Amino acid sequence: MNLAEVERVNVRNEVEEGERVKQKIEEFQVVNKESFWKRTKNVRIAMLYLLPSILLFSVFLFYPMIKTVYLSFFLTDSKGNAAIFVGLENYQYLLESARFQKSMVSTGLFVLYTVPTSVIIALFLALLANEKLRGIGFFRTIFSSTMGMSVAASAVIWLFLFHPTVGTINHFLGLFGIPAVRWLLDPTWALISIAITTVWMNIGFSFLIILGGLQNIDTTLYESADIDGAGYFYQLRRITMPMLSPTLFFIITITFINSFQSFGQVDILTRGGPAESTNLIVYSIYQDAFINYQFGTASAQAIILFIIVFVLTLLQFKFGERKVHYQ
Amino acid sequence: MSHIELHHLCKSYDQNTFAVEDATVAIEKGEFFILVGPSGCGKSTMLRMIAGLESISAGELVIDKQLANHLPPSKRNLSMVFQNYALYPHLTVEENILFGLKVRKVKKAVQKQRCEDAAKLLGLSDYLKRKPRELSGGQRQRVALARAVVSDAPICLMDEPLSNLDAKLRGQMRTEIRQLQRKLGITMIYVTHDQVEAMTMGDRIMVLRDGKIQQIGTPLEIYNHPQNLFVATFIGAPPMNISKAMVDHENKQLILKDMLCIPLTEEQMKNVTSDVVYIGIRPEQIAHGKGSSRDMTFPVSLTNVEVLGNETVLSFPVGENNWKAKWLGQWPLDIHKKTEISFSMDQIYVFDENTEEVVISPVWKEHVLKEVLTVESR
Amino acid sequence: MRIIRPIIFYFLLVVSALLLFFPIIYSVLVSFMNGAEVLSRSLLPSSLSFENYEKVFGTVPLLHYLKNSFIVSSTVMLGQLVVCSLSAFVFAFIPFKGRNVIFVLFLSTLMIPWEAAMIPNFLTIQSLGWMNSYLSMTVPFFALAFGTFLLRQHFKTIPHELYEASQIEGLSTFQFFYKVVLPYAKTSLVTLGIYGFLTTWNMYLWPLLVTTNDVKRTVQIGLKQLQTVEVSTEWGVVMAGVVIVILPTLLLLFIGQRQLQKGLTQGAIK
Repeated sequence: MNLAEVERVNVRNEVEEGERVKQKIEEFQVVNKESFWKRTKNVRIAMLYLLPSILLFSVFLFYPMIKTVYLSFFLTDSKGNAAIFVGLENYQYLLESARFQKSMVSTGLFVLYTVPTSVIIALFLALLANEKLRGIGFFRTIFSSTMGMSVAASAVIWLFLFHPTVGTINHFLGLFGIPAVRWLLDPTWALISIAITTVWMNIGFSFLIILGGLQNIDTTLYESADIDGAGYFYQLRRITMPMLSPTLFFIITITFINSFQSFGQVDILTRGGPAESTNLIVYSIYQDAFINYQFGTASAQAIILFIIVFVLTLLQFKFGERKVHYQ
Repeated sequence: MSHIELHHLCKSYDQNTFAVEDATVAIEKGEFFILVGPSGCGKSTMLRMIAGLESISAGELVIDKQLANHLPPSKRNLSMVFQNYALYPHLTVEENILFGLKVRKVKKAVQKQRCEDAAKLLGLSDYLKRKPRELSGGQRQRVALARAVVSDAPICLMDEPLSNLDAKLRGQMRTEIRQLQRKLGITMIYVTHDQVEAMTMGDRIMVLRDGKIQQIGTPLEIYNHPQNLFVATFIGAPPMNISKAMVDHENKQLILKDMLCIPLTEEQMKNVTSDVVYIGIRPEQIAHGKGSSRDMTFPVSLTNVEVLGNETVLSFPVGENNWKAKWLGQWPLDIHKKTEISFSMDQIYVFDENTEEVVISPVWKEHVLKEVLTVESR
Repeated sequence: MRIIRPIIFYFLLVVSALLLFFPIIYSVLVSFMNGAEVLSRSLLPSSLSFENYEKVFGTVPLLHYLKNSFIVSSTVMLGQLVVCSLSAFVFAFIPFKGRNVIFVLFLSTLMIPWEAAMIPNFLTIQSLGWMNSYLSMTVPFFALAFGTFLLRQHFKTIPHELYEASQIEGLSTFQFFYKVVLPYAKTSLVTLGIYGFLTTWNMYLWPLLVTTNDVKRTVQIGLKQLQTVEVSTEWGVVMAGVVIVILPTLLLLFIGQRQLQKGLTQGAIK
């Protein structure tokens, strides 16, 4: 018998076995006399327990998402009711509007400034704080502290630090003979100022997550590397980074999404100015919708925000997965 | 009427293959019944169907004369001990023991009494206020047993309860569980893959393989009269020696390649229909040196000798197979040296090549054994 | 090398800690300074005067805002614990046809930024008459996919035998949930609790939208108010306000740091 024939016989035997199983089960089956009500107990319990979540998600996430799409095709009155159907005109208007283009450029730059910086600094701090040294717990607490800082408090503190007359940063730079920077008043520096504030706020959470990732790495890996005589940086490159990649992947995605959603720091530090240089997308949505009552264009922007976040998450997942080392 | 009955019990997960096929058995009240087999043979599935943790695909499960197929686990009047004990880590030993009673709203006084009795019975009285993680493996096992004891259920199911313990403790717990079961008079269904547990604890054993029942019987029946090749090799340590042999129908003998010719009686020959058979002989039936005239005697070269203090296990090749012999006492023999061994032809098992069913097995001298026992007990 | 290495690490640790923590320390220092000291860019206050703290309570109803923030944050925390643990329990213990579909539905909510759904939500809140009410700041946040996944991850570490043992002992599903699962996963509940409290306390955009007067306003909006009223005049007072607002969350973080780190990493990575 050649292989194909063997294969065919095997398949036939399997089919026959399946037939036999079904016949036998039919022969001896005991019909459940319990009611349908009793048999579906699991589903009913599950649905009962899931109900609050599903209900809330539907009302406050799925429904509004669809409604946003709907509104983005309309011109609205000041109460947010859809008034005139305009199709894709809101989008067309946005894409042609210099204001929106500027907002997108600012947002892109802002993300570029914040994401790598936040992750690299947090990684650096986590590596420091992962050493087994006396009093390390104190440093860990300090490094994670900005996670407890609210946007409003952080922004107010940095508003003070950036202040042209009483601000500490310019004062400090002056000590080294560096001329004062017009932090929040210069269009280029304003975006950087907001980025600095955001990075500072991000560090606490990113640090905590990366430190957790570091501590999850099996210490015997380092012990065996020590025995082999590998140095600190060799171990960092060959053990720590590959083992940490899932954590880094996660935190990069989270930071990405958070950066796109920045609002509070803009509202307190610059209010989108000067010259709309810090008019990040969420602030722009806020202004259009709740200051100018342009719910249609605001919704169109919200949809664009959604698509960006959605695509970035998917892209990151696809692109990042190849580089990530999963245990 | 038996306590627990299975009629054509079947379980199939994918509707294409059986996990348990057509199991029929009746388990008596107060019996210690063992389900044994290699991993994946369906023994745990069968136990879980009896417990109600797994749905029954076909067939009937009858407990106390009542069809129990669709009863929820708590209505089947049984207790269960799990492999990892399933203790609640956030509760103390006492709370763990009484957990089920509280759920069933048993009176406080009764709870207290039963807990005290069970703790005393299992030597846990000093540990009642501790958490499970502060206990040793053996103590955790006892807590799990205590939980089964206080439930006062007439049926107890155990799923490999000893496999997480070390060898010494396992031996001790074996005895304790058996004594406990006798004392309480409960019906026990006990799953294990360990044939020593099966042989030493059970009133009766069910041997399973690939979801099919191979044999049901008392430990000695299973050991002395295995119904097929699988049971013969599964029960017994070291396992029964097996070799293929040609059947010489003309001269009424079995020919083991280049080594042995085993003559068969007329009576025996009638049972042998195939041209090739498996012959089997238990290691302890192989003796050292020349046997009597009716015995097979032949030289072998030893490949391994394990001296265990009270017994010695020797390995040697016979044809294509490796055989083992078990001798009482200490035999520090040189390996690779030729040694003469012998076995009685009365002790041979013969299995059909195709069906693997037994066709010849030694006469079981039950009366001899009984005499020995009565002499000993005097 | 054996002596040098710790020295390098301590040096780097101290420098990073100073840089990172400076804004917080300095705002505490400024909160004790008078106007002249702030203007002259002093590093340390001349005396430990609580004058700014007295003043800040007079400028905006900060105590009232604190109370609002506490009520909102605690409610969201409790709500999240209840709603998330219920759904996490289903995903960990109760199989049924279509469970995976619902799981994917939960996953998809992670992809929707809250801001993208903000406009219709605002309109919904208006039509429900929930403006200037605790309801608008709490109820929409009870369901949280992240929290559900975090708890599910911990629930799944509970041996399945415990569920089976409880079935044999006659526990109902709900009894198993609150008598076994919740006590077993206590630590992860604490993690989610801290996380929920922190994020709600720090919420900014939504309370800004749904509160139009002082009655239900939270401290974060209070800070914005304070900064607008007092900007460039009384920095000491503004900083006193900042210190009061960050104190509860920083304390919570310092106490729960270890717990939070462990819990979040497990929920995030595995």
